[in-house]
Amino acid sequence: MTQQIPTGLDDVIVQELHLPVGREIIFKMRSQDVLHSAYMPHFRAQMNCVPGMITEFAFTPVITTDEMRQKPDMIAKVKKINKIRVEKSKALVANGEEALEPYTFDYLLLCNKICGASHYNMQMKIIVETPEEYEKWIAQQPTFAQVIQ
Amino acid sequence: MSAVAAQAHEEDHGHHHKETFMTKYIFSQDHKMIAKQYLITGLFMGIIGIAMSLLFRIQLAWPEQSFTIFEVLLGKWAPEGVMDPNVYLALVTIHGTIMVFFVLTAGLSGTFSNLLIPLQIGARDMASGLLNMISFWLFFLSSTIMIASLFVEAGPAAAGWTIYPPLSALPQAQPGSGLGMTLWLVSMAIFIASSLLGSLNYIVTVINLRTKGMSMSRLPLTIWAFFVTAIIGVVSFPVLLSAALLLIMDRSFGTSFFLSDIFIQGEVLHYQGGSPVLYEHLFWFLGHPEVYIVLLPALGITSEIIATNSRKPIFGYRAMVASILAIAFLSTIVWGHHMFISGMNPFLGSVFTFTTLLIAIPSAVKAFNYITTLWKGNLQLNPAMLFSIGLVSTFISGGLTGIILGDSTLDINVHDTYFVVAHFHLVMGISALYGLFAGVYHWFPKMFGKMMNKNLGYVHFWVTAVCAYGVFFPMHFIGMAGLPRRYYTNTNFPYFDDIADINIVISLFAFAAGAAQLVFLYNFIHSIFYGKAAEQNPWKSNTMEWTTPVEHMHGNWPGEIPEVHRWAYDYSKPGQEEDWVSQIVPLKEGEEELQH
Ligand code: HEM
Ligand SMILES: [Cu+2]
Ligand SMILES: [Cu+2]
Repeated sequence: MTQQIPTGLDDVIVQELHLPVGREIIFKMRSQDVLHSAYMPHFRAQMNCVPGMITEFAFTPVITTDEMRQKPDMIAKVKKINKIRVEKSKALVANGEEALEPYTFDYLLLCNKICGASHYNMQMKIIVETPEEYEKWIAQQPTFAQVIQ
Repeated sequence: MSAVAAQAHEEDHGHHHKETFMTKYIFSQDHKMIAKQYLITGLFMGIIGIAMSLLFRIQLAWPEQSFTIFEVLLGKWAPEGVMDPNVYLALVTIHGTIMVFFVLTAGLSGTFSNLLIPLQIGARDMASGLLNMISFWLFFLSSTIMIASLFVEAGPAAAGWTIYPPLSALPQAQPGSGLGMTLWLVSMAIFIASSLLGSLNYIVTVINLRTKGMSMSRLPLTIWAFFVTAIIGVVSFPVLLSAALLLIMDRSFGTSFFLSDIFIQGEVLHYQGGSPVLYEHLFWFLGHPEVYIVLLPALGITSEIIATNSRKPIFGYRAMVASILAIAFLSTIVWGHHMFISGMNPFLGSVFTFTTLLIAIPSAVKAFNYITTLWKGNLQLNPAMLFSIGLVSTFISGGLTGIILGDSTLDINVHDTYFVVAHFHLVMGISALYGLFAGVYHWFPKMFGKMMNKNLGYVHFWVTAVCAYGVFFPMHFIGMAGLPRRYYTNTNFPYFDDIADINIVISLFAFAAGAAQLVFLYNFIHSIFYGKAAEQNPWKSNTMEWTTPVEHMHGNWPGEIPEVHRWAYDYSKPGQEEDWVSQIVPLKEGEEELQH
């Protein structure tokens, strides 16, 4: 998992985790600094990340992000959230600050074990996609060899 | 004690024992005075702990906004009146620590075990007055150190009340893991010493100093609860002490009990071969029994008050004792339910699920027996009784979610979310707090010789009862929605934006609940000085403490200690004129002792 950055509180760590739908995913986790916990509330999955050992669990995602966005209750929820964000933005703009971006649904991965001042900030997006989309995405990713060059 | 010895004791106190202010009020060895010292210190800590929760409730309701009160109270930790995230964690940590240990362990057990054990078993004092005094002063010292830790440069401990390493072990991990954490550990080590001395004293006193006729099967349920609580404490607190000591070693002496393979702030640390999971085992080996250390005394108090104020014998005395014993035993083999996702072997998870769900049985027995005692009783709804009934309510509503959290497969979903916060506040925090209040209202006449104001008591109860549910009930839903606890704000997750309003409602209920406690404090202090003088036995209760004079005296009973002839629950017994019969009244001709 990513490390905490005590000095950069406003750094929102945006990283994406892409998972192909319908395939069992085995997560292996470890931590470099303190305890963290990988919590994915929509999958009802959670496991601590522990320095000095590897923890693991597995699940099979069955609903893609796109399908999730089309569900009636999700549409309603997102609509409600965006209404709230528009209201909040009005106040912000009046204060000369930037408006909030509109929200679209994504699966969440967040840190759920107290890990320091930026604990409340540790998150990743999880994108569940069809195998074809997944293959396309992975083809665009640099290989490890390319990264360390 | 024989009559002669008792006589000698009396004379002892009559002639040689000149009490100065110091020996009477400060370094007192009298259990009744020590009880008051515990109560007042506990209440003081409670004010601080609750005030902290109100501060972070402001932040949760109106995140990252500027408040003058933050600027005033937090100073440089709230630049321009906006609370710093480190401070949020520090407040949560110290709030939890103070409430669990200082208020509901020392404040509750310390007060009522000290007050009631000698008085209800018919003893002149604790087995060792000296140890008892030392126990209180160690508690006082540890409280002072915990409060002092609030004022250190980098702030107090901030790793949660569970202080899991490596976060708590590495000063470079966060400001709250520096001197503040050292003071936290020292304070807790002293606290544990205090608790052990107290518990040993309670155990020895109950075993050895019961008056004639006070067999174990005639003990009031309060005493059973205090006695068993002390045993749980003696069995489990030393394990927390060992965890604290090992953590101190890791922090200061370069050992690696809980640390391994750590790379932090661009630096590779030398630690090798330790495991944070080991710490979790040690912590929760105390941590789970701790919730029963907090709860059992409150349940004991409730048993007493519900029977007295229903004017009925307690239903199922033997079942009550058996379930206290069963809870005590089971509480030591369930700690792993806090660790389902810690990386411990999943098979262990199913074992701990099994043992945890077993605890539901004795707990349900107790809840059932309270209700059956209340059933068709001649209910005297005074404030003590209301708080006792309140306890039964929160014990049930909080206990039901325990069944969910105890099941590893379900817990994975809500572990460390607000669902857990809701669960433990109701079943442990609020229940035990109600037990504390019930005890204060009921035994205030015994402690201070005065009566508390009933009407203020009603206001206190009803506002607290409504607001406590107002605070903690909605937390179940936001927890199930996936909201993690120990988050400074949720605004970085648009997904949780629709929860913002609920957070405001919760905070408003919390402020109202806090205000209700001011009513209690006013009533408490005012009644000490100006309360109506108490009669000897205001609640017409059977237990022995009400046979001692209102005015406190060293040695409790003038003359000989009365003999006990019956159990404590002869309320509305057929064939008696009154609806109560004190334990010290001999059986009448042909009267049978109730089969209980
Ligand atoms: C007015 C009354 C109270 C309010 C409003 C309140 C509120 C809270 C809240 C919101 C949290 C969670 C904060 C977070 O996880 O970010 C919390 C934590 C906690 N509270 Fe309370 N609480 C109250 C009384 C009590 C009582 C009576 C107890 C006694 C057991 C208690 C024990 C704890 C503990 C152990 C924690 C966990 C601390 C941690 O996460 O390290 N609280 N409280
Ligand atoms: Cu974290
Ligand atoms: Cu537990």
